[in-house]
Amino acid sequence: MQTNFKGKIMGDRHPFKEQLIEEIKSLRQEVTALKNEKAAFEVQRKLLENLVDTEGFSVETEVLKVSLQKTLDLATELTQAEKGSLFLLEPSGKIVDAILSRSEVTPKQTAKLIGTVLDKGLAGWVIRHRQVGLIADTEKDSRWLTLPDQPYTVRSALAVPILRGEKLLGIITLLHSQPDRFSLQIAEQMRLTADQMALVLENARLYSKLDKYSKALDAELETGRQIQIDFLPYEIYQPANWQIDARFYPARQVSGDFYDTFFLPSDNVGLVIADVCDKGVGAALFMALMRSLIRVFSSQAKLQGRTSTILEENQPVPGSWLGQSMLTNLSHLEALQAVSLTNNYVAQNHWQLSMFATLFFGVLDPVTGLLTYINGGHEPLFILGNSGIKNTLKATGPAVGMMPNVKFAIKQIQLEPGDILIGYTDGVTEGKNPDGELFTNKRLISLLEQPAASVSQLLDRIKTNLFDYIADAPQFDDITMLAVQRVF
Amino acid sequence: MEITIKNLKDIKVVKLVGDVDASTAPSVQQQLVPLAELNSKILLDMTQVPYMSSAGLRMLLTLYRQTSAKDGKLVLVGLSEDLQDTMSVTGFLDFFTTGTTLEEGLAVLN
Repeated sequence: MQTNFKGKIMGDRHPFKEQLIEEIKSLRQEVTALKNEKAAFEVQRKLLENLVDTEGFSVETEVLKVSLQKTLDLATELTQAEKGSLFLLEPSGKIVDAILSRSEVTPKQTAKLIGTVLDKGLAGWVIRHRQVGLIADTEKDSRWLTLPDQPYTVRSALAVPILRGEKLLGIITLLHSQPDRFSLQIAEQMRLTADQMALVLENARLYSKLDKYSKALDAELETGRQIQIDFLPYEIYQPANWQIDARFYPARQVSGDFYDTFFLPSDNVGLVIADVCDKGVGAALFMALMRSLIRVFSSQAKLQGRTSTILEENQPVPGSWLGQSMLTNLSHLEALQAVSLTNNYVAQNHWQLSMFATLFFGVLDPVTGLLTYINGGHEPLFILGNSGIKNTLKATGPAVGMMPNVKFAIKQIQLEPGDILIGYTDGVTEGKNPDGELFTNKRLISLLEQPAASVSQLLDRIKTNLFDYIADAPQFDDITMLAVQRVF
Repeated sequence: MEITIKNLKDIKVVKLVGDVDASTAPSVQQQLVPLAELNSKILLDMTQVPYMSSAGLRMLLTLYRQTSAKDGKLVLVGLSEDLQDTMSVTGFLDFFTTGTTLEEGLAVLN
């Protein structure tokens, strides 16, 4: 064995040495590769550390530019280049921004570069071929374009495209005045770096696009919100001896809820609280339409036919009218026709959209306290006296706009001195707390049962309790309240 | 929101599972409206719809208008107490045919 072994050693002396040399060679290569990998990793880490911070910034922001500048400086340093540049490009190859290493270029020079097209020389080649362009010696490479009157002579050049899929986002160029300064290893490192930069740049571009779009949309909605507010009364109409107040908290910028208080030519007061179905812009458009139709129709609608027949056919209380004055009764009835006219208008002209509103329209005689109303599918309104809820004004007909030619029954009730009429939209009772539980009618009623010094105080009490209940949960629905008190 | 549509002879039985609100109503409507064909019979099972907002009522109104326009029939079953209240206050119950159970709904359509 030994002999054999020895013999083997002795006999194979030459090949064994070669084998060792080979092994050492390969080990050296491995160590070099590892070193390179480590170096590459280090480069990546430094560059990435710098780039990751820029997520969520648009391309235009200084933050991104500063970060790209740092990345370029780092890349220049790590590749031991003397000069470096980073051009952000349009798909056509036109420069949209230029960042140059070590801030040796003035903003004026940068501005001059923007808008030019990189179609010549190495950059042009890289853009056309979408691959890394490495020039070991510019004097021996036709891709290098030597421009006259250049103070700096380039011998080594490395140009790396910043690619995201098929899209070319930019190009990094690194230069040195001596030949053979950039290895294939370095080129590969820079290609990997460019991949990371592409990701960051694309993120920034998408973010910028989204940001612009969302800002434009916000501005549009803000305009919508301002115009919608104009469809609520500028000032709440305050007849003598009465106090009227309202609250309006839309869930989004625009809303389908509305309230209205206005003077009618018959010396009566129009009181409206309504909730257009669904949410957002569509509901807001219908809010504007319905509010306007109610206002216009209520002051212009004329009853047709014999007065006695009309009064008999529309009795609010079985067998009689509550109002002493038939003239007042008639004027209330006339104004309330606005509801069926609005209903038919919406149901006939906009039936394809299936939009409707739950709507309470009351006509109040401020002298006598007589209230004639239609509740078109809306949440009940309450009349509060000294000892809590006196009356509940339930729906007298369906929601407005739902079906054409439906009948809206009218009702009458007398508001006595001290009485408060309060109306709300379902955003109050369906307000959700962070656990998803509803505020409920029960909670609202318990707040209504406590005496209130004024309508403002009552509305503030509900508002405070409701928003305390909702706490930090999102407000799902529009919240609107209207309260009317006969003071004397 | 889960929507399953099955055919029981000539009746299209639609089962909804989940809330129908402003975020889900458009997709429900998109799937249900095409069911309204000439003389079609649609049964909407809402036993597992805990909440329906006004956007849901709007979807129902659209479906009602489409089926009526094509001489079809629409029956709703399994309405929660809250939903029945809402549909009663808004007047929807006066126009829609409703039933308590699936069997009851099928009997109405047959």
